[in-house]
Amino acid sequence: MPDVGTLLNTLRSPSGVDFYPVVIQVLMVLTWAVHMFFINLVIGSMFLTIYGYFQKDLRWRHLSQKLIKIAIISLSLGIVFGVAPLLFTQTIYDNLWYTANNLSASWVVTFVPVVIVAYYAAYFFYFRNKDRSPVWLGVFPIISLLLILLAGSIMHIFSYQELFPDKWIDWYTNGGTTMNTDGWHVYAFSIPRFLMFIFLSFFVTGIFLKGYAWFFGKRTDMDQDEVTWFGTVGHKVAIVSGGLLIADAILYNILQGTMMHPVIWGTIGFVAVVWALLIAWGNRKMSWTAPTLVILAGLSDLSIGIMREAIRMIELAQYNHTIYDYPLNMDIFGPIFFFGTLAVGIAIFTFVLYVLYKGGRVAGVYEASKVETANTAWRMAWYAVVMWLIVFWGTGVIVLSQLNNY
Amino acid sequence: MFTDLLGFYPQWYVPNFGSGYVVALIASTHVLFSHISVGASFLLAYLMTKAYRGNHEEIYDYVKKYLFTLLLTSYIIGSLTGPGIWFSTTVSNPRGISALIHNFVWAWAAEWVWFVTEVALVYILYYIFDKVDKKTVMHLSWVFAIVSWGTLLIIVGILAFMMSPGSEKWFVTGNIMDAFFNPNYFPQVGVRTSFTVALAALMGLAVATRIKETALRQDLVRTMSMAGIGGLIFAGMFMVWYLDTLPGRAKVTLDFAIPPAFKTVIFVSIAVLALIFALFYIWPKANRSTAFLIVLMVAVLGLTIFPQERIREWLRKPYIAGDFLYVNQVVARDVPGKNITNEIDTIDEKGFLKVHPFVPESVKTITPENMLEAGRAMAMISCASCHSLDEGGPRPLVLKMEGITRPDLIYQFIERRLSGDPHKGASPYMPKITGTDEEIKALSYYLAHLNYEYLVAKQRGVPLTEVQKEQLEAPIPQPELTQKEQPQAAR
Ligand code: HEC
Repeated sequence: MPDVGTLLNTLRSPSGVDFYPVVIQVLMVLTWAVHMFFINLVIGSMFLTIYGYFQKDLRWRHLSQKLIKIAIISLSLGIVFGVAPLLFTQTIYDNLWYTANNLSASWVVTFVPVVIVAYYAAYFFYFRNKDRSPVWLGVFPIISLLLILLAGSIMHIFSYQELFPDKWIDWYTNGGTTMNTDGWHVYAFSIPRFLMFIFLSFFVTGIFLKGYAWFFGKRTDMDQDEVTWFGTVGHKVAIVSGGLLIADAILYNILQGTMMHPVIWGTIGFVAVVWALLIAWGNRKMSWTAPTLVILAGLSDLSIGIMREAIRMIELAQYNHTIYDYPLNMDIFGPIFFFGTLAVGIAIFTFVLYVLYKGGRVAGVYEASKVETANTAWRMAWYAVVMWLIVFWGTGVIVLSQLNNY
Repeated sequence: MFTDLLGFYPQWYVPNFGSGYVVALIASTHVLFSHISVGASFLLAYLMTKAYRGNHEEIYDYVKKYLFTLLLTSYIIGSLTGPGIWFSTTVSNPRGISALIHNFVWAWAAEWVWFVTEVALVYILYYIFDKVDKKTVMHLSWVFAIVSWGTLLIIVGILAFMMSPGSEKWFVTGNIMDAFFNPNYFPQVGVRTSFTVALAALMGLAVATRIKETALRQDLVRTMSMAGIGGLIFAGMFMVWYLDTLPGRAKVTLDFAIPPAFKTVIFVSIAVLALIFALFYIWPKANRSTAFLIVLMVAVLGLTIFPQERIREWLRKPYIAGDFLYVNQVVARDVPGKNITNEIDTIDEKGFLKVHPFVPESVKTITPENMLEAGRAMAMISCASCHSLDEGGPRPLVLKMEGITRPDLIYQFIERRLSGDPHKGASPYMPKITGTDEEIKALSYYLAHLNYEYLVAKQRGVPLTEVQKEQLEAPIPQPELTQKEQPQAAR
């Protein structure tokens, strides 16, 4: 067997990276947390929408209708935000990611079709989920949820197989005798680790529902008793799942052998504090507790993301491997291009989110174009977009005009 | 002994189908839907502006429906097949996608910003359509159009590099901008953008069939037809420029290796489309059937973009990306700008089976006993990314080799056709073979067996020719192993 540290270095891209790996790592963890927040909402909402659909109580049926809409929008956003950590992990953890994927290659390509079918099943349910729709319709969200859990398991397989570089060759060659080229093999799966994300989903979705009740608490065109009740349901769900989440996170880290690390304590501790606050604040009607908890739920995702990254780093340290020594071919143009574009994106979102927030909290049509703040935000956004085009093409023309020197 | 490893990943092989086709399936779907998305966003902005300026309530209704259709199709299938391309290339060509990722991580990250904005906006536009005033919706639709186009503007840089860096510049500097803005970039942006305008015109015509107000409808049909013709003319002009920027190797393949039917289909379908636009311009009333337009759109996508994408892939061979990485994962040349050195010499010296971490220990050293197995492993890592080892799938070797069962003939073929040297008769689309002489012999031996088994199987159905029968009766001679390689086992 080759030395694992050597193998890991060999499997890195010969191109090296073009900017400090730590920056890419931070971006990866941050975007992963956002991705996971939305995926948590999908899974939690899907479970609850199914439960609600089979209840006689009309309030539950209504909650089911709201939740399926939250699930499909979150699925879109979850996918969109999943692309970024996927990109960054391929950059700094290419050696782990490409190997873990290719060990179970056929599962990799089933992922996308599985999610597409899950999506349409959810949409179908969303269209027909009315107060009096038939029981059989409930099959669709169940199919959808099962497929999403399958997709989650597939992702789990890759990120978990990544953690065992010492076993890869033996796995793939059955101990040095053959090549498992078919790609259907699954070499490692951790139920406690997988469950952690499910409990997290309930925790986040429960808190999200509290936030929902707060956000729409001023809408005169909505049934306020019902809105408050949604919040109560969310509260209960979050309390139960929060406890399970913490217990399971401890269990998983003990099994992984990483429990003794201070970063792991810190991340689990943070989730425990959020949980404690949730209990302490109870179902009080104070206006700031619900939105604060939603932010804390998002940060819990970040916390789990940091834990996940810490586990990976602890495991790799055994082989003296770290991303911080990834061969660097410094190239500042790439980051400028990205952060420049990001700034334009932020300008756009400032305008859009302002309109959404203001518009969402009032009944009737919101005349954004008559509001001075909205107009200023709009002008900034438009100006930024046009500038982007000019700078982008200008660069292209300059670069291409120097081609003949080579 | 293991310090000589190179960075190859576990190989994935899909019997009778080929991992490359899996990528093609996902990528083509994505390309079709993403072109539709970009075209649709232009159209949306145009319609919103027209509706707002002329106060056409009627248009708003359609715009909203049309947004929803987009949401349900393009933004589900399109946005999932996008990362789907990463997934599928990750397993069919890990080092290829890795090379692109490591060159373009920031360009891709920038594209991602547009992608997030685009997807968020399509939802927001739909859900707030009646919640905020129309002027704001119109503003948003313009941002939507530009960011949607922005994703195209960025991805084309990566696609163009994949075909070829276009000059020596990037190899020297290793700079992302030199890779991105290569000579192929602007013409390709031109072709694709013009084409999406033509697609948008088709969708606009479909919306127009539903408009009741006669003058408005007529006006829309005329504008859309004009836009359609304009798009096609510009696409054609940019195409000429595009072809001019292709590398020489690709031009040879284009002229001699690509079946003319491919090219004819593209030209004929574009000409027919232009005629239809012209007809609608002259006689707007003829634009009546949405079904016709939808069929037309599917036909156009299937008959132009799809073959175009296939040709593009063909032209790239033997490389997967940037004229330096072969489809079979071997780094074929130095890239000083990135400190990359070619792997051919190392592999020729040490052996492909030896340097590949995921080749089993049992075949790393070739002996008369394991020769067949070793040969199969060689075929897996040297040929299987382009050739199926079964009867079905892409370019099956058993069909390409016409049933030769003599290892020495196959060996000769490989040594010439895959020599990397055109004077010896090397093909422009196949990589140079890498590995020790032993390994190439083992490969030949395995291929001879593969052909033999194929002939036996075929015999059960169709009678064999005399030559084939003769071949089946003769035993397959095992190539001699040269002694000097043997001691490596003890090293
Ligand atoms: C980069 C992709 C690629 C690789 C790798 C590759 N080939 Fe090919 N090969 C092609 C293409 C393309 C053709 C021609 C297309 C066709 O005929 O369908 C071809 C054609 C052939 C032919 C038909 C005769 C000819 O010269 O056109 C044989 C035999 C063949 N290849 C054998 C091999 C063997 C053996 C290997 C592995 C050592 C191999 N090829 C590796 C792409 C490849």
